[in-house]
Amino acid sequence: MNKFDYLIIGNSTAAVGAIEAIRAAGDNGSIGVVAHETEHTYSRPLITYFMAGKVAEENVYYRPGNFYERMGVECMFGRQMKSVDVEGRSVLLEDGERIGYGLLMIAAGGSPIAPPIPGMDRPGVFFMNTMDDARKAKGWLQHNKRAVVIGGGLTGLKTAEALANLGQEVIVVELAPRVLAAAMDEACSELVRQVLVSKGIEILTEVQVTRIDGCDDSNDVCFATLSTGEVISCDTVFMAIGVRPRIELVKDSGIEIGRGILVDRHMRTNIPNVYASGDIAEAFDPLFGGQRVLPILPNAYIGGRVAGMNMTGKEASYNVGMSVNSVNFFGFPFMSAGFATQEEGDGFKVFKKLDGTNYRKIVTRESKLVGMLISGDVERAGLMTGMMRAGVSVEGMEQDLLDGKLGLICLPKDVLEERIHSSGRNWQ
Amino acid sequence: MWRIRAIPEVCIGCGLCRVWCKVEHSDSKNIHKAFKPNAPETISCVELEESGCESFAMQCRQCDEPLCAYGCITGAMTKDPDTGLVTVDKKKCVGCWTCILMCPNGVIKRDERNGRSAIKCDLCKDRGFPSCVEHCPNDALVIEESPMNPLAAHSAPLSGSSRGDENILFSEEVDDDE
Ligand SMILES: Cc1cc2nc3c(=O)[nH]c(=O)nc-3n(C[C@H](O)[C@H](O)[C@H](O)COP(=O)(O)OP(=O)(O)OC[C@H]3O[C@@H](n4cnc5c(N)ncnc54)[C@H](O)[C@@H]3O)c2cc1C
Repeated sequence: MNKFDYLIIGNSTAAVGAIEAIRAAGDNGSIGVVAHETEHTYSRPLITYFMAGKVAEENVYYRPGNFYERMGVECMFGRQMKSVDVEGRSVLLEDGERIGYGLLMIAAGGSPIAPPIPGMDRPGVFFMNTMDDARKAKGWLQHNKRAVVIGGGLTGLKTAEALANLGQEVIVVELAPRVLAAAMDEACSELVRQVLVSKGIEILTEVQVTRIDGCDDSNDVCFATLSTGEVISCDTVFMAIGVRPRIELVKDSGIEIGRGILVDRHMRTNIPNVYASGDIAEAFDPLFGGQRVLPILPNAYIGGRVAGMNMTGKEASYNVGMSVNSVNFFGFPFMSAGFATQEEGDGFKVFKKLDGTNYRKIVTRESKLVGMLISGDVERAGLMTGMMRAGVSVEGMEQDLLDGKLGLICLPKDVLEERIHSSGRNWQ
Repeated sequence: MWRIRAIPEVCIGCGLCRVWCKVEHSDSKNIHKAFKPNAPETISCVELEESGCESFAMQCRQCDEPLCAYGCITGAMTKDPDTGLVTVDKKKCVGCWTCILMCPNGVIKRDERNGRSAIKCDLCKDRGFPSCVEHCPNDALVIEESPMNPLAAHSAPLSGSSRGDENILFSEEVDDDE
């Protein structure tokens, strides 16, 4: 049986974070990476940019071509983990091979949710989760022109943006009353809607696609039927209603799961030599005060890094894993962090300011900043996430925060001193 | 590795650091041309922070654990394991501004002059010595030299980037310049 000191499942952000940490810690142990996708590590958020032709293929890759050689990693790509035997310290692959490990890190991410809609299997229905999805869709779109996007979350809307950039007619179908409902409040999602609509994207809310049909002479997508009974003609359908951690991989293994693989602040599971991070993990969120699944790239990298450090015996804690999102649609920027959708009540105070398309909202709890939402003028927004991580009191500063009139100089003396002098090693 | 450090006690808030940073990031790199009414827009990567009679200048600290690079969705932002410099690869950056949201010091800027890319203090690596430090009239910005923390080694610059040139920071000439 082939065996590695470090066996990593997955080849994306969290995996790269772990590999870089293991090598930065000076550990020369053997590292093996098993990944379902055959691709060199790439930036998942860039696949819609690639589809739209906005980012060239060579720039989709997250690390240089020689990354694995330089890191001394043995790649086992195009192969899938099936199950893990934590007692025997080995992983079984779908192709029947068993691989042993000293330490295991599971970073297999999430799989796109496939709603049980009749017609899901027709040619012309795509997910937008992998480079392969983007490549296939890119080819298909060359001879098609009217697409329906199911899901008005981040992936759905970035897909819609890419389609509009390709000159497609685009209809977004969202079940909730507004787009990006999970990440933004009403005022901010309205601004997003306006940006999208101004670019010709049609947005339907509080409605679902109930079936996808072909035409008389072809199996390919031709119509989508909505829950209202309305039938819309289209030639392409994108499914983007979310991802779900691939917890089926560890089912009955003895590794504890919730919505994701449960990990402590060292990114360790209940099994001492098994770690997890990224979209598959349910990890600590300091603002939330507990574990939750937060499928965002910064947390995948940081979680992977923390796991990597701890695996080599260098203690590191995952204390900055709050929700952060920065996204733009057609160049217009939006940012959110922490309790961004929270409204006044339940111990939260909310302050808002809307000035044309510039929106700012801050959320405080016990006078500490715990949430923010910004559109338009995002200058120095990191000062606020910095305040959130540092847990400083912002009492009396609320208006300045709303006006964007803030600086490090507003921080308490000790925090400020630390910012000026520190080598940026400890962001807890 | 090098970092720029502010000394608030002696900062008089004159803003020359910003002026010279803007010159450095202008097309002409010439103070007589950079601020002409019709000169193209330029950017300062230094923030001047002021409150009452206190002030200090702040730019990137080239963090050992750079949250901007960890949050970078494209791999454009990396920390060079040899020089410790945190740099943006403009060819790869798509301007999502996640780095701006991650940086607790608020010292990464948007550069929308030519496409969209993040821009930050690079210690004037092409110039040889940070212009803001050189031109600070009161020594309120200084160079701090510290050994490279091995744990901070993030990832090497992308193939094709000028790794060799970056060592100019540590070359003999720099000392002469000082
Ligand atoms: C279109 C799109 C846009 C996005 N935009 C943003 C954004 O702007 N900002 C942001 O923060 N986040 C964004 N995200 C989310 C971000 O991409 C993820 O949070 C991040 O990629 C998670 O990384 P990960 O390492 O957990 O795993 P993933 O990126 O999910 O990768 C999982 C890895 O595991 C492998 N794998 C899966 N199953 C198996 C198996 N059984 N055996 C072996 N290997 C397996 C896969 O091949 C892959 O290598 C976006 C996602 C998408 C799809």
